[in-house]
Amino acid sequence: MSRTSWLFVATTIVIIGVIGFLWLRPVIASSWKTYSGTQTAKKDLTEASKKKSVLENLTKNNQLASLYDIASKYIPESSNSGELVIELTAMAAQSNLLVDQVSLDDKKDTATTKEEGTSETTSTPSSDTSSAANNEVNFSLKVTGTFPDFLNFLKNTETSSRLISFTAMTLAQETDKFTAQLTGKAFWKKGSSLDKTLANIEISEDTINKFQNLKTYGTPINLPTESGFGRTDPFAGY
Amino acid sequence: MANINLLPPEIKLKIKRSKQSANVFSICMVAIICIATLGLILSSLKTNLLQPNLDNIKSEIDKVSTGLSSYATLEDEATFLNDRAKIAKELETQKAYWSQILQDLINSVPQQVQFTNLTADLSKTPNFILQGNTTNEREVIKFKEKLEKSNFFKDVAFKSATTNESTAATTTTEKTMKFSLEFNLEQKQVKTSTDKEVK
Repeated sequence: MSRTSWLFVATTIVIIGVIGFLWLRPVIASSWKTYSGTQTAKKDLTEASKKKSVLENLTKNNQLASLYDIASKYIPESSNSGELVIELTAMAAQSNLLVDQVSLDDKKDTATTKEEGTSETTSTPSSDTSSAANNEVNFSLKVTGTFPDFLNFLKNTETSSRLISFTAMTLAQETDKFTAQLTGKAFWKKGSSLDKTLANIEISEDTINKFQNLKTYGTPINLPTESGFGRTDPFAGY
Repeated sequence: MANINLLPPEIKLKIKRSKQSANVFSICMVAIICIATLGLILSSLKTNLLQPNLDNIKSEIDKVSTGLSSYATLEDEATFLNDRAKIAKELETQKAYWSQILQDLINSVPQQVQFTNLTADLSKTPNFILQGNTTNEREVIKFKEKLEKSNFFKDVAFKSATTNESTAATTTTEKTMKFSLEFNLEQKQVKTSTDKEVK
């Protein structure tokens, strides 16, 4: 090729390079960005539409409000230790057991996945106060009655409206009665740690069944309906 | 008829080079035009197709999102419900189902064995310390063997047996043996598949 031809080729390469760098590259980058944005937006739109559809279906589900109440009681947002005592004593009474003693101790625990191993120590207190943490209310309970009634009491605790887990127990037959000293824990957690994604707002049949099969024992205190407050001498006998 | 080019070789070479340069120039121009056209097409595609499409989808998302805000409470409740179901599942898998454990224990007790004290603590080893009365060693060993076969218990250890002979009012001599067993918990609830062989 002649020198002129080489000059044309070189000039063309320079022109194409300049056009490519100064004009084509930003156009391609911008177009690609818009295209990617469109794809993401399409996904978001699909997700939002599905979410809307799921929520519209949920509005037709009359059980949701009652399920929410049951779930709020099963693992409440605060320790609700008063209701726990009412629940425990009501379950014992329903099983014909006499409650000799109840005591409570609030503590916090962050590890939900921690193994409550058969040969390991139980959960240790933690200073983590994040909303994602599961907290525990430790309790101890002493009941007297008969062993079959005690077994019935244990069955009741497994389907009660508050999640209760016993960690230790001492059962003994004394001269004329059967006694059981139990230690256990109930759980509570502030708020929810799940994101509001489509998967987290769909309510499965399993979830509905899980909460529907729980049973409430005892009547919680409702202050506005309670009466008989105020005494002149609270040290006098009642 | 044959054509004979009578031009001098220098002029012929010059004409050939001129043609070649013209060809290269044309090719270069075509390349530049192609690149410029590509740029124009892309620019036009972005302005007239991609951007309006993106704007449309975004406006649709805004519309749907505005509609979703009216379901905020419902969304909170549903998320809360799933959160509690998730935690409950986690905690329930770690939880010991004592009614099942004790039911399995009492199903293993021979007729002539009486419990006097049972201590169960999942944080200590052994998890269970059982004290009771029986009539002879054979009953305790039977009980121990039965517990070994259970899906709920393991490491069953015979700790002690003490015989007390007491004469009852009827003057018949009854033999009472105090025994102690220690064992650990193997599983905390009934499993669908049996890990151990069927009793």
